Amino acid sequence: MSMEHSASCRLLVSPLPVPIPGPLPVSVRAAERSVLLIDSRKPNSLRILEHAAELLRREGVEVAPIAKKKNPVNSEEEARHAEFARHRGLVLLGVFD
Amino acid sequence: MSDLVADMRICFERGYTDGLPVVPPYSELVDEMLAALGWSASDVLAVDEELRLEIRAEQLASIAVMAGCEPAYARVLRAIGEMLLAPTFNLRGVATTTGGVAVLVILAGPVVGELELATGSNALGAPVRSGATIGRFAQMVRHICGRAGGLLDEFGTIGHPGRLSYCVAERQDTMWPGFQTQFGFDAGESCVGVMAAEGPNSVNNHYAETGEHILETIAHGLAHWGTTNFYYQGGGYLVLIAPEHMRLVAAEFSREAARQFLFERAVALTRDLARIGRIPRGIDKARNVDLDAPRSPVAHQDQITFIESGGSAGKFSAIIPGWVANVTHVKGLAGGRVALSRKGVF
Repeated sequence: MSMEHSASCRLLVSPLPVPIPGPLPVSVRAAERSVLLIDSRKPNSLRILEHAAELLRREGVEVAPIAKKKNPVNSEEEARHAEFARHRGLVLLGVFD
Repeated sequence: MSDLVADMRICFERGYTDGLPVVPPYSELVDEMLAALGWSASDVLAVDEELRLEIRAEQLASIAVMAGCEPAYARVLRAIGEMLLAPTFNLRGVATTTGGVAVLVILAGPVVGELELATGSNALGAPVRSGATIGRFAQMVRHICGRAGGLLDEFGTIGHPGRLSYCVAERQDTMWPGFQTQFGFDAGESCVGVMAAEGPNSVNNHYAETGEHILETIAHGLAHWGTTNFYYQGGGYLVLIAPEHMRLVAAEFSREAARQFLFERAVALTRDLARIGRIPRGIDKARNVDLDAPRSPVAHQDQITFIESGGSAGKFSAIIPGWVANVTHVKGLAGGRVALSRKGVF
């Protein structure tokens, strides 16, 4: 059990999800200096991402057209996942208002 | 300061809370709850591969203790936990959406009497331990597990008070067949449902003399311009009818006829919805938007379900809108079968 001692020296069982041991497989090293932004079609989200894209371009970073999900919650289809995976730059999920 | 109060403060400091004081999850209480739930502490109930987290039975038992639940509620709590952690429920989305929804727990059948759940006056928000703590348990699972123990934020723009506890139980003298029969269960079978839901919208009609006028009033509430579901037509609705309204409605309509009536009448002019911004400019073909036809907030009439609850005096009903990206899950407490409500086109 995941437990800690309380003020009364009784054991408290943590309700928090438990980390799975081992390294987190994350790669953030982009092969080229470009960014692909992904978000929903909601105006709030797009406004923020368009502003972010403008700031990145000013810094000389190539920014692909924003990839818009068909709906804000459901996972994208496999074909689109493969398309995102082929991007050689950094792929960032956006705001999802 | 007593040790108990000190321990409650420790729980606040460690994030073991929903904002209210909790029963400290002492190991002996958690062990008792685990035994009632029929789980071992280390049983893995869900794994989040992306965030590299797992939720074990001890976490849900700890939450049940913190919420103030009795071990006697365990069969209901276990069913709720299993449904909330099922991938089909999308708990992370429920927790983090700007929609600010809560988990509505729905109970029907003999379990309502066995646990002495409130079905009369103030059925939603009754000061009765079973419903209050079972509803709180579901919110705490959403709040603690849905946001990955604090790794994620909850972005609900407004939220609603049901995010602390939200539970409704059906009257045992319901005039239509029980809530659970809409999901293929027998009327005599105890069932528990979970639904990602907005707050209840009150429907008042004290002067109607016909069931048709009551249903017309409900239809108007279902299709008000601000209802979330107009574009995506997901989520569906739970229509709660209290006894005084139900007496009028049931005298004229079967449940199926009432559902058909609401499906046909709960519509708005699509051009009006587009004009005011409820339909986006770049319309997705999958949404089946026809600007020249009336639009319903549901794609299928089966997305409308009913429950009878509330006090015997007062001509009120309530509309409980579901979250667009969720379907209601209902589990039989005897057989363990889970049925899902009909999905829209979302």
